[in-house]
Amino acid sequence: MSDILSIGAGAAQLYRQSLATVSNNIANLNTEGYSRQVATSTESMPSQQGTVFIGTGARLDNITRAYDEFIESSLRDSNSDLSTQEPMISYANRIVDLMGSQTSGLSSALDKFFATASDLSADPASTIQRNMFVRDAEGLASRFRELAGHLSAIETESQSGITLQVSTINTLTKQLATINTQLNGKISIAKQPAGLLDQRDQVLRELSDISKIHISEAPSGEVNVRLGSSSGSLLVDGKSSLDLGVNFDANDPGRVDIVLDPFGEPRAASTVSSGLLGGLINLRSQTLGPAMDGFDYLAQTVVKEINAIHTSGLDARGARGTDLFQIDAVFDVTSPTVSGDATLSIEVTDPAAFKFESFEVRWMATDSKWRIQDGTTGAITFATPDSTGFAHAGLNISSAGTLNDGDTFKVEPRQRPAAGFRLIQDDPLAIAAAERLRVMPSASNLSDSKVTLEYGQVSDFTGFSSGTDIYTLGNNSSIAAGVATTASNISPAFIIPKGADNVALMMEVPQDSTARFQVMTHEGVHVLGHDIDASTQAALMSGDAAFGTVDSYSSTYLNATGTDAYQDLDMTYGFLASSIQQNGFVANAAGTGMVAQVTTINAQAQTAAVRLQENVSGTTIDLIAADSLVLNGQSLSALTLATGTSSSAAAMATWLNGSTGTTGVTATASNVIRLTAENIDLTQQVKINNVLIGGGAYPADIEALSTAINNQTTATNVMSYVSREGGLVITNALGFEGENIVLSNPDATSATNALGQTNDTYVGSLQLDSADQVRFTFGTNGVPADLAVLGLRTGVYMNGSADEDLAVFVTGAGSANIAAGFTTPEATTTVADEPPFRIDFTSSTTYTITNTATDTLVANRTYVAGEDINYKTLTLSFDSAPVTGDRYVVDGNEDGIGNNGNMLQMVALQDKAVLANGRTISDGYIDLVSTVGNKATLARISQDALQVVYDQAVQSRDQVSGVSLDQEAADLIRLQQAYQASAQIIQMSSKIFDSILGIR
Amino acid sequence: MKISTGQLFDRAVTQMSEQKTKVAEMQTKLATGKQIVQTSDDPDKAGLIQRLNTAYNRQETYESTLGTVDDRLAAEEASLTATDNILQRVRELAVRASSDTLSADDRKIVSVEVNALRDSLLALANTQDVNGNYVFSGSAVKTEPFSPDADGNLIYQGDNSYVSVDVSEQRRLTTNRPGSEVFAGVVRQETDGTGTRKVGFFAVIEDFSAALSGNDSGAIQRSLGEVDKLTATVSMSLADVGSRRNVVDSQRDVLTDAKLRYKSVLSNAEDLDYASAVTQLSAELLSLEAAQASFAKISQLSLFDYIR
Repeated sequence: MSDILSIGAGAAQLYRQSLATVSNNIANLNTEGYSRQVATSTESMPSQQGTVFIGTGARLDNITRAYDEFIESSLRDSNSDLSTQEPMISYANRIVDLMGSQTSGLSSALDKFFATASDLSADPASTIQRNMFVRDAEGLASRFRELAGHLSAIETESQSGITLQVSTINTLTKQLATINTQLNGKISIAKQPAGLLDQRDQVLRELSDISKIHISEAPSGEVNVRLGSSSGSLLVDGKSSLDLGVNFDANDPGRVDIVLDPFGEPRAASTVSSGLLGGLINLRSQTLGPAMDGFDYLAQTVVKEINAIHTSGLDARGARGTDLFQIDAVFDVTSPTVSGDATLSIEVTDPAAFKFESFEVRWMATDSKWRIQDGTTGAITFATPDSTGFAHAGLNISSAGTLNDGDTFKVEPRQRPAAGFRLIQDDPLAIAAAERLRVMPSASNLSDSKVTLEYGQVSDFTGFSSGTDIYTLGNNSSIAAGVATTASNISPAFIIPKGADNVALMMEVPQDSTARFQVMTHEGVHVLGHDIDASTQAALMSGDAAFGTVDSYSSTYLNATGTDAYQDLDMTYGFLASSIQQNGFVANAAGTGMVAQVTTINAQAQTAAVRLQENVSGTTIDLIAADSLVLNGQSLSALTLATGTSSSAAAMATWLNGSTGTTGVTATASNVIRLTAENIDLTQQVKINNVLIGGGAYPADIEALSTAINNQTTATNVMSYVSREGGLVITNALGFEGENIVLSNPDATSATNALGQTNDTYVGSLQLDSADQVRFTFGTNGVPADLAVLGLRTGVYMNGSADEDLAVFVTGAGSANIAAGFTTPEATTTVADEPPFRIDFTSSTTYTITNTATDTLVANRTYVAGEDINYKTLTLSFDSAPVTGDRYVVDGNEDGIGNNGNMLQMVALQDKAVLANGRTISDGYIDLVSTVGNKATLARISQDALQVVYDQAVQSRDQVSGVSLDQEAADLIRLQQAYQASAQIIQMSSKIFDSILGIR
Repeated sequence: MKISTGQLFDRAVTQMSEQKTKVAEMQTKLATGKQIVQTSDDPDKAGLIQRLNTAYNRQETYESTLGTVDDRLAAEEASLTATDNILQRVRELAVRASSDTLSADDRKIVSVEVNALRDSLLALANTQDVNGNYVFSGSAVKTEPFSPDADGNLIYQGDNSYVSVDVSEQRRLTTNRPGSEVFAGVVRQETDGTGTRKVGFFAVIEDFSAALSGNDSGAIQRSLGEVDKLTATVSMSLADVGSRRNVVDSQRDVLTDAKLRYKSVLSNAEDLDYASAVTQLSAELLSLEAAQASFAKISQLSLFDYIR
């Protein structure tokens, strides 16, 4: 009986527990992550009675979770994949809706801008249309800024989204580490509490929503979690977990760096490619970053192109257009330590001085000063603000609100062109609608040929193809720097580039050389040089393709000066030394102070050694022929050399001084031989001017040698002294300045002498002095070799710069050493040269081009009927041939406010493929929107497919672990009946017991 | 296969909300009459629509430009017609005056009329359009084209620019003729053997007037020939303006056509096909209702209801 009672009692307990399990299932119907629990029973050990085993009932074996690890892991993976698409869809759609909107997108603003430009082109003089143009230009600028602002808001949002997801991961991994600790107590997973495991799985599921994870499970049910795959960063290792951190690059929205253990040993975490976090990172790198960059590029291109057009035209006041738009820097101001309500505002006031560098400002209340610390160098400066703030590196910085001591602001400038897009020209009359030049036929033209003007690019103009730039010679005009150059009558040797200033091109020629300079322009105008015959003219213009076939040689401006000079340039061919004006201070008359005074320093020129030439011809010869050299405008007579004599500086000085009255130039000759102590060779003897020094005795030292020389002065006309450095200086005696000094050695076998010098005749040099200038030019017969007689190099001097390249020929024969001095222009300008000029038809087949600013005839050309006229970058076309006497004037279009040429260019920009990928601005923008849109569409398609996979996984899990009320109801009935039956067993056993007791 | 109770409800809710979203989308489409309510619905198509809109807007811009051009040409035409009439009168006077039957006094009287006509011609040459711009001064529209210089000679002060505007993607129309061409002078062969010389438009008329008052028959004869030339030039300009106005008219037709074409393409791309949209909405509603009805039924089912 007792066995029956115990069976009944055991069964009742078993079924009560089973019923409790079912009830628990029903109760947890809506519990997230709950796995259905099943109570399993097992048969109790039977008892043996004799040979028979009698069952002893059943007992509760275990309550297990309905759980399938494979299904759970596929659920996690599909969850990761699915949630990857989510950010892409939601954010990308927002970007697309924003940028692609008819009302708030860029397309409508661009359309409006170009439509107004077109309206303005129809009536350029109208102030109303100009106002509308300014308004719509402002509209375009603000649309750029608005869109950039929206994009930046999305960027910020996705940034905080990423930060949030990363911190969620950190929370979850910490929870998991705690769960692992609890699981650690038991060895087998079967012994673990089902609720704890459910909790574990729920955390893992939440983790997988954020990022794909890899899990390895220990027998106890503890899990280790890695980011992504089995080789990813280990986030949860048993009872410990590692934090993740995230870094953003403010200048590159596409870049997101996930860092492992940011506050311990920071290192790069493995790539997160799926899950919500992966989706957000992908969004930034694949969609948001490129969209923002593309939009910025678009903004930059629009500003560049529109400004280029606008600055090439003329506004309603006849002034050249200025930049229409500007890209301002955008500043990120963060204030880590501000105690009050102070805010900072920053504005770029001097774009040239402004550098894209971060800095930090701190308010020093005690001094009422700002302390400014440079972000890169750490240098510290102080600034005292006034009512408008203070200036720093091209910026004006002002504050609002109450400043407290120690308030610190970090300022980070950003390169976001679209966000800084600004209209800077809001004056309607400053809108450049007109073309900058016009061509006008003269009213007295006999033909009625119509002319049109076309502009070319700077690059269309081909300069000289041969000849090297003088810059390649190096800025050193000394004799030593000379470069040997072979004379050529065909192609230019050097080019003086446009804009080169203070040019001095110096030529050193050997005796009797015929080498000489000729300077010519692109159009064949001979500017400097010598008269040349027709064949040379033709030869000079034959070699370089730059000399067009239509240009003919002109010598109108050859060596002309002043206002007669070519383009009024101050140029000299020959030799030039000018007086200098020097500003200084001298004591005033009362001796109480200083007064400014301008001192004029005389023009002075020191020549090299003059030419030594001995006349053995038997007749008097010309060293320099008459009318070869012109000094300060005065033609010089012939420099002769009597037979049996040698040339000397003294004779040349006398010759030059013969015309001092008309030239104003005084020449002083001198002959100085400077020797160092090392030169002196006291083992030898020396004869000066054929007089033996020291009378055969060898002087003991330099001092003695000098004395010996001076002892012979009356015979040699040479004296000497010991220099401060201990060397010896030998020079002419008074009254014999500039005479030649002949050195020789009584010992004919020696090539040198006691002075250590070669036995030779030494000539002197000249010093030329003038109150105004020393200016040698060439007369009819002169060549550079004539100047070389005086010890002077021939130069091409240009004071000021030409606005065109000039070709320098070295003609004649042989070779010359050429060196150059110059000042390079500060910046090479890309604006085309468009001087005002006029074209005069001198016959039906010839015309001249005259620069009207300098009244210089710059070209003499032949005209071929029907062909265009090209000058610099401009092209003039005639509809019928002009006739003799016709004149066409090209000048600025200052009063042509009805002209719309520039605005037509602006309208044409609409269809111009200005973007790098060969697209127009509008198309480039639409492409940008489409690209983002297609990414979103793609993500949506993926999401649809992944949703199916996920649903399947959910369903599979539900089949295993889900709670179905019907099933539970059935179980409930089944277990209830079993429980009732068990109760019956107990009752029955009681009855049996009663039966036994009832036996009397 | 087991369906858990939670899943049953979840699924039903998801399906119904999806269906409801579809209905709402259709409703928005019907309300706006557009196929694409938001760009994200179909970015490519939205791009196409933007392109078409740009093209359409451009045609409208061209149309408004044409209006401006036509106003301007009308002003030119009116003043040229008047100029032509006056020149005809001058020519009549020249013909009459060249007849030897006229006495010196008669010719003086004619001269007075010629002077008056010259003033009218000057006023016409200095015509301004509705915006106050001088019609015949090239692009220097704020400069009076014909005004006396220091010597009192009427000379052309404007410039020689032609202003042209875009009236379609391919066509650019010139809106003006500079006064130097319309009121062009003549080349005169001097009788004193000094060769040829250009004589201005107004100088010809003034010379004619001087010849009349000076009773110089030879000069009057010469003036007759010169006035003929002036008339020819003005007539040519008139014909030119007329032909340009014709171009404006034909271009307007072209633009109207183009606008219509763009409009219809745009409508195809953008506008909603109401018939199919309404049908679709009904279908969506039907499935929503079916989902709701079936859910109501199925959710009632529970074994617990039958366990008493």
